[in-house]
Amino acid sequence: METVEKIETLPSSYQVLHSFNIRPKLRFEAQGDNEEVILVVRAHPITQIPWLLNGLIFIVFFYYLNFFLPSFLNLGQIIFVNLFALATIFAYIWFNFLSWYFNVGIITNQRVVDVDLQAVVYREVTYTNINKIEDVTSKGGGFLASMFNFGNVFIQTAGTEVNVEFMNIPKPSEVSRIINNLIYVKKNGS
Amino acid sequence: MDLNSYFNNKELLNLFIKAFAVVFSIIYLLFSIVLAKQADIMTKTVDTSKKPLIILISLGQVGLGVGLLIYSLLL
Repeated sequence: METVEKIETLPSSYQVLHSFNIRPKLRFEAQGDNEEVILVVRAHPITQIPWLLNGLIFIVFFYYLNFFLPSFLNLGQIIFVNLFALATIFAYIWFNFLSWYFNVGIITNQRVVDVDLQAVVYREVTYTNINKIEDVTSKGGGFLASMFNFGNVFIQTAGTEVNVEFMNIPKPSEVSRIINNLIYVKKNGS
Repeated sequence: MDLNSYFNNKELLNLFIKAFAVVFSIIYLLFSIVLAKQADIMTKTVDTSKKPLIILISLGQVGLGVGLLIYSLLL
């Protein structure tokens, strides 16, 4: 199978603002000695626009709030309110960035790993062996998804094993093609 | 002691502002500590080349929280 060989010789690259990375310099907990990371995917950056816009709106809001503060606060209090507002906006942006950065799908030559970080305090890591995968489906729809080529990949596993989902990732059909190739290699040994 | 003369309107407002500032600074500090701790755990789960930068920014946020708390106590 020619495409399998191509995957194994693909050069390391970081695409779509680090949301589609082939052979990145990344290791994960419980990675085996002979296990090689082939692909790492995150949500497409375009899906992160809402919280970036919110951060910008908050900055503009606090800028205009400064025109009303001197009427009832002294200088020290105004400085505190501004510092606190900036710190809160920074915390909001950092919180959302961490949620995006650590919500990754990792595809190795042996397993598919889904790392979910929800509301920063809740963490879920799912490991699925390539040979346990039954079916891979990529779905994408809507104006933005079609325009920027992102969508969801659903990985169905055998029996009662946990199913894996990669949401809003770039190039979903390419991801499913890579996983299908890995399944083929694992089952046929070439 | 006459409380009415001690706490005129301006002083009462300042006291409320200081109390709110201290409480919100403590909440911010706790939040930033949790965030830094979780970022540390996540960099162990997914070890990338950006790990030092992520830890540095998270610790910077904790420092900002400490600074805010000290400043609010001095208000």
